Amino acid sequence: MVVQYKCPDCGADMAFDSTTGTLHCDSCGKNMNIEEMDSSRANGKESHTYKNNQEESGEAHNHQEEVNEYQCNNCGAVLITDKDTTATTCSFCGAAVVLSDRLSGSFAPSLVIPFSINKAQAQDAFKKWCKKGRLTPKGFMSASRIKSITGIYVPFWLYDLNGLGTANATCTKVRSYERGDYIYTETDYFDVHRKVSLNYLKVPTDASEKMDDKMMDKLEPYHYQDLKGFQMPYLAGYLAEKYNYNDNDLFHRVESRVQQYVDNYISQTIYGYATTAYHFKDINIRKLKAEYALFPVWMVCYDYKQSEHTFAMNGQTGKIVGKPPLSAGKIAAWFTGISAAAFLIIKIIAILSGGPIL
Amino acid sequence: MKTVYRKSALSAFILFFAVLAGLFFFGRYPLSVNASAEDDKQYVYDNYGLFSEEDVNELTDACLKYREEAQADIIMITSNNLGGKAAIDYLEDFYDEKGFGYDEKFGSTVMMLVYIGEDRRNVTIHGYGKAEYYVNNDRIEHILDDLSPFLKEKKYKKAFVEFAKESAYYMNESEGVKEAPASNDPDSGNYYGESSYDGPSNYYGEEKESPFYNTLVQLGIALVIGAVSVAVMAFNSGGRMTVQGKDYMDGSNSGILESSDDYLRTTTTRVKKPTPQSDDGPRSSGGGGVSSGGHSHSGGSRDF
Repeated sequence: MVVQYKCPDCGADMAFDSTTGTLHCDSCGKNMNIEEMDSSRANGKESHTYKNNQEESGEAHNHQEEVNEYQCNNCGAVLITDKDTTATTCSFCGAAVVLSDRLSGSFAPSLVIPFSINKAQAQDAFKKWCKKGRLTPKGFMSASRIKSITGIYVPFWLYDLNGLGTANATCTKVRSYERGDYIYTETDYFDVHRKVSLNYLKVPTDASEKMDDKMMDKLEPYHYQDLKGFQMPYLAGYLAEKYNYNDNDLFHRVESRVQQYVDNYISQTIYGYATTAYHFKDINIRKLKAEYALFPVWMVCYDYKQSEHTFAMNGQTGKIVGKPPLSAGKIAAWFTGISAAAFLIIKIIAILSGGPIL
Repeated sequence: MKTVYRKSALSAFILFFAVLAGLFFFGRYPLSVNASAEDDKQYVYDNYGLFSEEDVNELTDACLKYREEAQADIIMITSNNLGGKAAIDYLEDFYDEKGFGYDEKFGSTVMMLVYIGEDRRNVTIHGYGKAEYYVNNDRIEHILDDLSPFLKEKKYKKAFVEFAKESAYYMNESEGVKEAPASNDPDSGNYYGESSYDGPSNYYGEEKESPFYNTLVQLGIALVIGAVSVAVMAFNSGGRMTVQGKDYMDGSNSGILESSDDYLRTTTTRVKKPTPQSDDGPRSSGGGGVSSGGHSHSGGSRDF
């Protein structure tokens, strides 16, 4: 089922506008509040999708697994999608389309963080970031080589977890004092026991197989005050994907991550000792809840010296991750500079402490 | 563009280390400027005939090399006949006669005499000029400690080379030395060769020297710091993970359920306090004095 948003005033295509957080009509300038649309959703649905034809949707539904063919309601062109796409733009007429049948049932997201950085801001921020890179080649940003910049809603699972951690350790406190001709060292041994119960809320884990897990992890943090109940209009004008892995498939990833968190927490509760030797440690992570959410990401493809570099930008905070090209010259220069400075400092310390000049 | 950048950076890099290496080596062994002019000067007086011509040449080379380091003449003498004089007088007269010195007549000189007579075998060391302070009586005793085993085994050449090496070392080691004027009274404890003692020296400095003072080690540490810093920069150039556990923790519903710190036992160990490096005070075999030519010197002597 293809959903498109038409301006009720002029009938042009509307798309989500990150600056105002509303559906925006480019031709007449009308803004529509998405959350208000929500209240009138039940009866308003028909009007938003009035071009939708029942036959077409039925067809799409029957062949959901194999058929990836949808038609633009505007121009009738075939929409080019792959099996994971849930929102795209018509490559022919540019209309924003949302594939609602791929956002229903178990694939219905419950939460979304809308884009708050638009394409132009993303482009500027990216250029600034490239120039700032201390090891990026000088020519890296001299020409506009951005090949494509695409706003994607990436599927994430947000886990609410409980971590139950138990640890037993033997710790020591050491003090030493002098008496007569002897130095006495007293070591007090303690049996230390800790049991903690820690709740973690909305730990995100990327659920798309196309996205690099490490890259997506580095994009965090997302600020959850902008987290909204999912509405399809938020996707209008952007690409969106559905998840490839369900919450159980990804649990091991979030589990090992949160185990680390609990482990750190436990070690922070044991303090004031000279040594700590654990002899028992058990950390059990339980899933309380997993919610399906879409997070905004700008993907930037960049051509440099015949090779393509991919960067990702947090569409909410503007944080950029990805491997930029490295300049051998700059690396050598930094290496020489830091080494020389370090050598000078070491030399000065050595001379001040009574060492020879050479 | 990139290759040009790389080349210039690379050459700057090479130049930097070439300069360092140059400083390092030339600083250690300053080029001799007056060695050629002094080539005819005699440093080794093998009156006894202990050494072959080849040995004498080797010893002369050692004298020349350590002379530059010490900024003092290094003189080696062997004899089986002191003409009825005591070793101390023999050396004083020899100094008065030859007028040794590094850059002036009657300047800084360290002399060692090995006397092998029928009645006794004896080694005597004198320091003149600056060497009166830097190769003082206490230090001469330490040199003699080191030379005795060689002399007893008749390894005379080795003993002379060690003497030259240690003399040069002490001439450059100021720890435990003050250039104080000496008293004329041999019993004052402040006599020639004794007055300059200012606590224990850094004896055997080369063995004790911290590796941290070695320029190559310093350079190595600096290069490691540079490499690690650049590696961290390169690693972080792609962004890093900035979230921590507490960012997702629900503080109001998290906490410690059980916590106990139970005292078990105490063990006590004791070790004897390390005895501080004992300072036995200056040693001297009383070899200092003034030559009949009026040149004061430090000295020390020992039979072997």
